[in-house]
Amino acid sequence: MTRLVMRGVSFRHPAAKDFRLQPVDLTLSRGLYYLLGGNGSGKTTLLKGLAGILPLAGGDLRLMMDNKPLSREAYKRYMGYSPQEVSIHPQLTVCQYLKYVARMRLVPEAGIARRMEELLQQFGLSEAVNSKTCQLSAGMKKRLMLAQAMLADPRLLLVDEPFAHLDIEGQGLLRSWLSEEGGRRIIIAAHHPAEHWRSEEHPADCLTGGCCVLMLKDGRLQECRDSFD
Amino acid sequence: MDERLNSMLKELQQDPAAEAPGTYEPWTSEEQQRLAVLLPRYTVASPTRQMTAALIDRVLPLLDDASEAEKELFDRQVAAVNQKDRVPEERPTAGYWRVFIPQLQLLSVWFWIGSILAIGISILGMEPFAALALPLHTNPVVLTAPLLSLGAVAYACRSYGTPMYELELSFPLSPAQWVMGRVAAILACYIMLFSVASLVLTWDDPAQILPFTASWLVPLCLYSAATVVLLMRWGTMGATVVMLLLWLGQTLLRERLGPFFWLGDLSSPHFVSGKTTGSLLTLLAVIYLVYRLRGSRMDAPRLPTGGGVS
Repeated sequence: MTRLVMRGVSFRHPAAKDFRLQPVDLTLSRGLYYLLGGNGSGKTTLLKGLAGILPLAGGDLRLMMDNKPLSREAYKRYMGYSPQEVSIHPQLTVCQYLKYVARMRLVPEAGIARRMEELLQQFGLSEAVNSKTCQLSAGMKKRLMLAQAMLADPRLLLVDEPFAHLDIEGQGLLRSWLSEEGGRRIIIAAHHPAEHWRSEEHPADCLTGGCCVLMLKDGRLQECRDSFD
Repeated sequence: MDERLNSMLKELQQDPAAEAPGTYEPWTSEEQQRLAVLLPRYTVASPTRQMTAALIDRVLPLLDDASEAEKELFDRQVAAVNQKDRVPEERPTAGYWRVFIPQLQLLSVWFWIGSILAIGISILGMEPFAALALPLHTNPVVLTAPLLSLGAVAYACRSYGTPMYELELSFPLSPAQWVMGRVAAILACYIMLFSVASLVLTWDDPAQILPFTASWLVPLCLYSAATVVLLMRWGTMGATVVMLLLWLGQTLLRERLGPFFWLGDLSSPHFVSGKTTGSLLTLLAVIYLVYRLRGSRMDAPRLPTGGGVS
């Protein structure tokens, strides 16, 4: 069983000197977790910290598999990250880009082609496989970001603003996909609430399947609500 | 076992018919028809493997107080359910080349063709340049080596400070591997190509091969190392501009810089002192790089919003 254990975990963004994410104490097991909060609440900082992009400012962060903590390198191997910004090498085609990411993520060479085919089909990128990444539309780029995060079949998947740039149909499909995948891995999806549901509705009611809601405000984890309860 | 689970189990095992035989009245046909109509409304799809796994994850904390034997039994049951999802503790460790080669593939074929052409032209330009007999105390090969290296390093590290670099930081590779994968390969190839050039140019006078090699090797290493150092400070564009200005300043001022003229050839009066200060500065830059990379002090300096690398 995979668990993400955070004990007093804190991160600081080098670009925002006066902002610091307050220590987070949380243990997450397999499931879908929506990380909600307004602008500047610290959603992206927390995700970037968990992705190993920002250095740990304090506390202890561990990914446990069968009650054994993984090394830093193994942690990164079992983690997938889909950033908010479009992160591409524009001169590469979709196929070259995914191959590059797969190799860098140490996906076994023999399984790369099959995995890529699965993901291209799953994310509707099959027809764009030979297009340059810089020529894709914003929605397609978002799909590419999600596909690259899934290449190594991660145990921990971090997705920043997954619904941004997607059309209504795409958002619905992604919501179902996230719920389904939440049964297989830990998924933390940072999300701006206003984009996804009306204010009078409870966030968890609008999300299909079982999911937990983590509310962030001013760099502090305010609430951890489990929609199963 | 947890009390709540225990009571649920007992409840499910109870057989009402066995407890009170004969106390139930048979259903009428109307009731059966009504049930047949209503039942599908309450029929739900069978739980998927994922749903079962999620349920197990949520039930597990209830077992915290259970005895060791019960825990062990439960763990075995969970293991059987999750067998297909299991992954080995550690995937086979890939060699250094696994992350080295894909980074090299980011350098296009045109980059290598351009580099070979530039080196070739500099070799061919040696003779006409010497025929001019200008008092420049340098030559095309020595001028080309640092210029090419600074351009190549900047090109190879062009994703530094962009969202792509952030994504690359989330890959299982250290900043040292990130830099080495790009810079070391360029340096190795350039050193090989310029060594061949040195061999060709000093074929008639083998004694000159070492001083000639030193004349291009020192600026090549210094400009590469300094570009990486500046890149960490000011980003790719800033580093490229500063290093280009330095190259231009050195080319124009030449021997007036004394021991700080690193682009001198064998005719330069400050050849030895210039190459010595150049080597020392390269060493300093490498020490600084090792310090930064060992401590992973390689955060992206300024991140532009949106877009990829250009």
